[in-house]
Amino acid sequence: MEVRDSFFYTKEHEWVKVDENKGIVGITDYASQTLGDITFVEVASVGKDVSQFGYLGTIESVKAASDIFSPVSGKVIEVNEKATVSPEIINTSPYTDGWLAIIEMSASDEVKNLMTAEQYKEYIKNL
Amino acid sequence: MKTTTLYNKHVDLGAKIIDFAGFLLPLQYEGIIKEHIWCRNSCALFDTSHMAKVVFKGTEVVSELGKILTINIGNMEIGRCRYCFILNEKGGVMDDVVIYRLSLDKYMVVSNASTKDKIKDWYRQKIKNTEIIDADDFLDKIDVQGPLSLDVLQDVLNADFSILSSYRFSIFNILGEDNIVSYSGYTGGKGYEIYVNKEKTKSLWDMLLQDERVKPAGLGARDSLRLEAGLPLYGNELDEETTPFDAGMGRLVDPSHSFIGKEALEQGGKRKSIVYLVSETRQSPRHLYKILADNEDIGYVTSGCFSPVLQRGIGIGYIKQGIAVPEKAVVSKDVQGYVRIACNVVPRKELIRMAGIKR
Repeated sequence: MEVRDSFFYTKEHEWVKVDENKGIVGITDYASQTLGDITFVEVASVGKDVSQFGYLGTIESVKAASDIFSPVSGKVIEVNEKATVSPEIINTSPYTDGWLAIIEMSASDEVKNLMTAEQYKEYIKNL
Repeated sequence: MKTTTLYNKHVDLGAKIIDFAGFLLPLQYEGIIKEHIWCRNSCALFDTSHMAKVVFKGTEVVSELGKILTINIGNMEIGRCRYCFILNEKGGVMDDVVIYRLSLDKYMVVSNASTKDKIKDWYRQKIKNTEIIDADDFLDKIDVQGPLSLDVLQDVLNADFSILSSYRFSIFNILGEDNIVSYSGYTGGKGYEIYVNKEKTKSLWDMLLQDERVKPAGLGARDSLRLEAGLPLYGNELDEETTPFDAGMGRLVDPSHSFIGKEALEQGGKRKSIVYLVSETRQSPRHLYKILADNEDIGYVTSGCFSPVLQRGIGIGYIKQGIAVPEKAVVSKDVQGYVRIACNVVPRKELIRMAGIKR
């Protein structure tokens, strides 16, 4: 199960990669493997304000639907259309091509509420 | 937790294992979508040994077993199998089963794993003067499903299965033993179910898997395949509060014989209407989502998933009594919720036609 260094993680298995005031957000390899074949994803539209651990979107596999929660607060400034059209890329490349949204972060210190890669590795080992 | 004879085979094949009705069974091997498509195009193998298999034998079997089943089993031919229901006194479905007429005074009933204990208790309570043999002690079941299933069976098992037409069975010599094989299954398409003695299950599984047209499929694909064919699942579409008429299967209730639940059905056996949903997008209706028309709550979804063939969400649900079935509906997690899925409401035949399922 891959975990990327220098990303931050939520208990609900979302990740955020922080680049200055922007956060690229996706779901983890653990989440994508647990869900199985991902068949649908819908993320809050560009311009929407989201709050940390608040609703960001919906992700579905053949069998189940789950909510996606935002790891950070801010405004959605970009959505990955490729993942919407071909959601299977979230299974194959959860940390790269399968990203979900870019959020203009309103509070950069919020990452202290998230897990580091080391902490997340430990967390999923115990699930 | 119980396991089937093939448990270690599933683990060795890399299956993701889940608990289903108290059994450790494969959810998927390669992935639900791949297994689903393989079954629609080639031949898939399912371990269905968790299902309940009981044999009934005796001179009074027609009336004794017949009084708990909705069809008239007295006029079934030997070699025929039929789908029907066991009802409670209120006409609600206790189980949906397939019954095989093995001889004049001998039948086999195959039912769900999830209702196994309840239904075996019911047999012991209701059926008198009849030998009840629990075949789960010695029989397993493997489902061989898909358009190439006949070719595979003919080639691998060296017997003529082409003599079977839909919902017929016969006894075939497989691995030196007599086994029941029926033309039946739970995918809506062409397929066979093989009943095999537990000592031979592993050999049969391995022999079939060696054929390159064959791949194993798990419970995930089993569910998406049955949904695409509009087939009910006990616990979702069927339960003790639902009658055969609610589920659109009143034709499987034969009033020419007497059976438990008949009187209740005669006093009004329909309280809701079953509907089949096809989403306009890849998003799927899900169990217990609401069905809305003009923003009014008119029913609920019992099952839903992504259809790998249609590349859209599909589902089954019920519309409440007294409400006309609309042509279009919105499926929603809750009335104000984020999830709102526009769906076409179609007859079951139309769902099967769209999915291109052929027997």
